[in-house]
Amino acid sequence: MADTVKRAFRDQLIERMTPYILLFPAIALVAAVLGYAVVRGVMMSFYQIEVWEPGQPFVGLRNYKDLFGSSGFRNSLAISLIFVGATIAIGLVMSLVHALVLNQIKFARAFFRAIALIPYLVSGVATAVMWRFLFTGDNAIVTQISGALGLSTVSWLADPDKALMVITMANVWFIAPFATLILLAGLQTIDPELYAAADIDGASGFQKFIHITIPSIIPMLSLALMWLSFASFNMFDIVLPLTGGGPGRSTEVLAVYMYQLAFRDLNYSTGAAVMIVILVINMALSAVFLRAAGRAQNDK
Amino acid sequence: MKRLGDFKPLNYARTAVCASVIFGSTLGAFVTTASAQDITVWFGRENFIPADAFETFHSENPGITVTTEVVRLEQAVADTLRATQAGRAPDIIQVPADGLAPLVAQGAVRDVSSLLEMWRADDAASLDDISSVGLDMASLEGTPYGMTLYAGPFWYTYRKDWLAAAGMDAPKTWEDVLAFARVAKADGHTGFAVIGSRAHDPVWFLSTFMSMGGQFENGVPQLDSDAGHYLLSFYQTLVREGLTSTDVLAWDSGAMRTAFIGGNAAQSLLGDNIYPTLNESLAWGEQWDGGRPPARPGAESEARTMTLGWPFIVTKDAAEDAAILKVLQYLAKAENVGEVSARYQPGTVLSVFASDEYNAVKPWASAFAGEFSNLTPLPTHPRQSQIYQILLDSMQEALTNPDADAAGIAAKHQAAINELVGG
Repeated sequence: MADTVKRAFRDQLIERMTPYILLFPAIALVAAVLGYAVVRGVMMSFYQIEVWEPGQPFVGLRNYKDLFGSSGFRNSLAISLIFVGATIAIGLVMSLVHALVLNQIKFARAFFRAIALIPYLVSGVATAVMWRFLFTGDNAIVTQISGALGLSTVSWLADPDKALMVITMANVWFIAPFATLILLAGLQTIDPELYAAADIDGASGFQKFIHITIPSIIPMLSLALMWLSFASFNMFDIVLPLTGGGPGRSTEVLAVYMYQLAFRDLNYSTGAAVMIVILVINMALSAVFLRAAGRAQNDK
Repeated sequence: MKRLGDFKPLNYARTAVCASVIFGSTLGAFVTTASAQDITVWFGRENFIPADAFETFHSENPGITVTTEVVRLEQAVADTLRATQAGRAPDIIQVPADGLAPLVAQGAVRDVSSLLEMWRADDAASLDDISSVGLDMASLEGTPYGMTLYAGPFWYTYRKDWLAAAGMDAPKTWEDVLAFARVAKADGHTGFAVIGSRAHDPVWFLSTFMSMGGQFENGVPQLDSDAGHYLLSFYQTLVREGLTSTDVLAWDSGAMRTAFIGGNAAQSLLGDNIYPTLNESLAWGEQWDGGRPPARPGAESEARTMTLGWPFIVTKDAAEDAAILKVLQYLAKAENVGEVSARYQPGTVLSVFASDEYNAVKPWASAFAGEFSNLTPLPTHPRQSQIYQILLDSMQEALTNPDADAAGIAAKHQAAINELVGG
């Protein structure tokens, strides 16, 4: 009897522990690779590490104090918030619409889904070059259309407000396909019988969308939101080649600002402080999205 | 069971000889390997590597093995510092000349005075064949850290045919440049193609500044000066009178070059490395010509032709001087510098400019030889990168506000620079 209980307990323990044991190598690897970088970054941000200054003295929170006192950083933070906010708003709507359309398509479904992912498969720098062709040069398509409509033919990338719009659009074009994929996965998990029942009840298409579709994909929506915000806050490889942060400092998002500090000015410690700020913002946003998703799930 | 009669001394002797040969050759190879020196060179661009990729060098110096890697100039300083900290720095690195200051500040590079003495004792002629900027751009505060074999100025380049059609002489001052730009604009062209974006370091801006007589104090540009005011007002005039592209704030080097090469712009500042491409579209001597940048009216004596340079610098823990010297001498050979210069950036080895091969590829070379021997390196400062950002701010403010007071813009940004450098 005691043996049977023991065996049952052991089996139960093994069953419960198995997922963790299987996950351990992956978690350990991620922790070793990412964890080291983050810990090292945090440590660096408490020291003064600049190539033109001898030694690496401990300065506590002075890098953060200097950072928040810097107009350049505050400008980059504000631009990043606008950039990320606009990307999330536009990107989520576009990817949701895109996912809904892809979910409805019956003809050549696999082909259209593959096409939808193409922007995500193009490198950031290539995306930037492509968008640059659209907006600058004598044969820029957008400038020509603008001129044909009797509007200004000045390149959008030469206008501080419009340049921010361009990098936002390029960013949405680049990262929204992955959000589409996430949402499409969510849409495919919805039980068709729910829609059938709603049809019987006489629900309209909009009502079905609000009361069935959206609540059913809330975890995926939360994931898509996290992806859009993460990718946008970290976005660097489109912005730098597209505008270099200009005109003026109008498109100098935090990631570009961090690159400038760490790799051009070789001011590693302040660059590390910016990295930590980006990390904290990303974590805070993730927490908000997860909490909102959890609350919505509970309300359902 | 073997019998004693099977004993064959000859076989044993043969085996012993074979073993000796094999062991001996292995030992020999080991000794050779142990005494061979490995030199790693980081080139800033693939194009800087001589075409024979050290094949001749290896045949002439069997005891030295050179390994080349390409670490982009933009990354070279940061990567070298990281590699130095990790104890894995290469022996020779190629960096932009303005990247030398942080490397010296971090003690990552080596004084090569004794190496240069060895060079002079060994082959004074080849050392003397290198232009003075070759050593200047690889030195800081009088201490040499390597040798600059490639240096690229920006030449003032203009449409000779359009200028002749307008009945004008080649511009000598920046006012002449504006006058020609106005004529070109009236003919529907871009008067002067200029970079206005933040895509690059403001080296074209500084080249113009130095040609206008702009000065530096301890490597810090003095923007709040007559030359600085003139420079900013020149940029403002270009925008105010529509003499440059309306997209100037988005223009990078590619857009600027394309405008000239494509036949849309009348004037620009172009690097020597662009000339072969330009010559494929427009004929040198007939449609285009170039020379040192013009001067500011009244400041002709202060005008200087700025050059960028990409020196080869010897790192702190590099191999012994004798091996490093051989590599530098090989890189500095006229045939190697000539070969690289013919397809990429101009060199500092003066005899190359007179060579037939080089002139066949770059027929304008001899016309520019005099100017090449009279270049001024771009002064450097440890906080160069941050100073550059402020200079870009000032340039873009001038381009965005063509009617603003240029002196006011200069004063504001000079104050920011001075605060940065603690002046």
